[in-house]
Amino acid sequence: MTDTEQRTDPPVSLDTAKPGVVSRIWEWLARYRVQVLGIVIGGVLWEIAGRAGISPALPPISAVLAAGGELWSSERFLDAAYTTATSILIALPPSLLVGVALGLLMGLFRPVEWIVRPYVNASLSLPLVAIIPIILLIFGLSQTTIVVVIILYVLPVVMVNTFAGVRSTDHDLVEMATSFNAGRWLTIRRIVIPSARGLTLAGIRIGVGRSISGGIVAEQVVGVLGVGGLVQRLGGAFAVEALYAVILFIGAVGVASLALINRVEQRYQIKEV
Amino acid sequence: MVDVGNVGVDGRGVVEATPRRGLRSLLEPARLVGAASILAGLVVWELYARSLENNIFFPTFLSMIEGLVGLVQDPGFWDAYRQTLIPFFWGWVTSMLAGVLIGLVAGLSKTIWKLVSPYVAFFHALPVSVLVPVVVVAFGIDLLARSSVVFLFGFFEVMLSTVVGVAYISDDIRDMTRSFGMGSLRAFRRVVLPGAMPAIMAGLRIGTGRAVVGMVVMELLLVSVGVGRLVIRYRALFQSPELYAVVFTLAIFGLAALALMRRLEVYVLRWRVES
Amino acid sequence: MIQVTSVSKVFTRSGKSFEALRDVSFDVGTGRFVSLIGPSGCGKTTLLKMMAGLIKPTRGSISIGGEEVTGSGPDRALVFQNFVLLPWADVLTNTAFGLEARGVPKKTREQMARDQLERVGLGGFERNYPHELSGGMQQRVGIARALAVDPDTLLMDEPFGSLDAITRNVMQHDLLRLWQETATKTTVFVTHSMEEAALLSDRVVIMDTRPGRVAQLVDVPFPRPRDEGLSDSRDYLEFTGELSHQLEQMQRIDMARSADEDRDRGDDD
Repeated sequence: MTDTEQRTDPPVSLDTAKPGVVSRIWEWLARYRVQVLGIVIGGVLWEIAGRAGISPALPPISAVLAAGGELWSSERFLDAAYTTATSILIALPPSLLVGVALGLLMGLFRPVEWIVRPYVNASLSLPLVAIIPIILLIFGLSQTTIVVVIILYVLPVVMVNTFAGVRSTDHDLVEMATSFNAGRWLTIRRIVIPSARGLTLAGIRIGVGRSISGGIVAEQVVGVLGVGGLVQRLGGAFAVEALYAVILFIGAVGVASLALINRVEQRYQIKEV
Repeated sequence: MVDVGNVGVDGRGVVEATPRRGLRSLLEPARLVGAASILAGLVVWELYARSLENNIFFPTFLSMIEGLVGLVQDPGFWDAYRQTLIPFFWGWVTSMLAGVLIGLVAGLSKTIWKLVSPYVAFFHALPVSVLVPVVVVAFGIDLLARSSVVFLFGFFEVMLSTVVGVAYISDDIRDMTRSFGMGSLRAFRRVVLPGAMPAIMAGLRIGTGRAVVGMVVMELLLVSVGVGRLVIRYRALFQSPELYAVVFTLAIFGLAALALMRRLEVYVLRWRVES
Repeated sequence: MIQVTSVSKVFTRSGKSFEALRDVSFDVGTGRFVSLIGPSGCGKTTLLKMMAGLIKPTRGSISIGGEEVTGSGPDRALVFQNFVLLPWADVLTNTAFGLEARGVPKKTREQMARDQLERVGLGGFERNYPHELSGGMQQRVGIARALAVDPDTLLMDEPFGSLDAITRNVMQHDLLRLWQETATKTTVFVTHSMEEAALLSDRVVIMDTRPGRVAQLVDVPFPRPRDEGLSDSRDYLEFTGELSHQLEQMQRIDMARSADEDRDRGDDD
């Protein structure tokens, strides 16, 4: 069967003493070769468009990377990144813990759900950005504002997904537990909480994403702190290359953290029979 | 015994509230307790604010209502909103259209999708607000710039949902249409598009929400003649009742826009049976 | 001894009521294997769940050992058609679940679970997870779990219904052997298959549908202990053939009746 199969892998040298890492990278590149091509094409187009001077807002990628090299090691950047990172790291753990706990309570006890639901739904349906001026009024141009905004961004999402996870518990499993006379606590521990794992992790993933976007947008409104503030200042100074460099950095962090959490989610996925 | 009901979760893992089912549903215990909860929250707000020495940072609920009434009677307020809603409208309409069209193209062609997906993944993980300074450098702060901000916020969401909706029409169904000799265009109109409709409509709804966020971001970050100007003024003057009132109107606008899109979604998908 | 006395069950859903069972009465002798069989919708699963104490009858009562059934209890254990194992727990934990529910300490219940797994032929699979096992093996875990709590009554809801034909055959013969040799408990067994019922049971309750009610009580004439060879014997084939035919008739009549009703109600499809 293998003889007649189409070999889509690129020709690999017969030197089989190659270390595993290189062949794995090669394999990965081959599998995603269209995407890689897309990135390359995009990069080339970007460089051409930048050099051609289509717009002051579009510097060539080479200039961006050059400015980036300088910027990413500069003190002002590292300072800003540190501020943003600490804001997120201060706000995330309590938001995640409280969010999951409240979500569990909502899922297990209907009255809790009824009381809390309108607030959670509202905060997910309205433009949460609009609350930033108010937080700014109360806490001023400080890191506290950023932290509070992040908490408000993350908490409802985690709550609602954990709640959905609890509610997604398979009725059959609960019925089985009842038939064996399992007490309420055992059912919650062995059945409801493991069932909720998948959606809870999804909620955490979305929450982490929102902590980054919420934190940065708050910093942009505040204007003087963190990476968001840096972006605003670079824009105001028309330092386009540096601006793009920071944007690339932010995007890369976003992609990396998303990928990391996806990995964790995969590992804990409930293996359907 | 443990009570486990049923909750709907959309593709992005965000739970949507179940659709309202007429006035009788208002009497359900869930609704009543929910309404009571909000009422209680307002009462707590009012009492707490009254207990404060000064209300510069935290006005009473009633003073916010007073401020709201004052705003509604002020022509400057409506003027500001008009200035804000024009770029919102342009940005929103173009983002919905472009999102669906480009989403359809990317969804139908696996090759195009693979070429584009690294960028989509990048922009999906990126907070869109960091693109605002780029827009300012490129277009300044005129109507085009402001519409572009709204556009950027709405576009990605709509495009992504559309791509997913189209791509997930299973290959089996495509094979089936081809085996009956159905031409591509017809298959698209009769099978693919209807099949992708739920995802597209959901994308339009969520995209509208994002466009509203974009509108607010635009007002907050771009020197503006619209609602943002009001926000800056009231914050600088520490007129908190008016500030809270303006924020409240933004929230109401967002909720209204979403409610309308949800209505539209339900209407377009009315032949769907809830599974 | 299980006594079902004039049991009726009416389900109401959004204003409409549905009569699942009407005036069902029969007995299950202690240590006997009785099958409930009938066309879809005859209420056999509902009846089983009532015996388990998960559903209450609208009228009538079910008593076991003289006491009326009011809820689930340690004297009964269920085996489910869809296995209903915890996907995130290993085979040993799954088997020990009923014991854990009863508060048996970990070491003891794990040992008891191991013994049961040996009995059903799954020794060595303790650390595997359900998704790694075939359907037949998963159901063995389900059976082991039920046996682990040493119930007086075994209630089995189409336990082999989700399995392919070959596996089903193997499981039927294994269950026959297990039941006859070591686990001779009062057993109520819901099935669709007359062959299965005749092979395993002492008595078959044939039910008709809409509303669910007892159509016929048939004693299975084959002496115990039975062996696998029974399924090939002439008597067996005649016996099951005749009754299968009756069942098929009942199903056809019911299908025709429901089509008539749909037509009268004005549904054109």
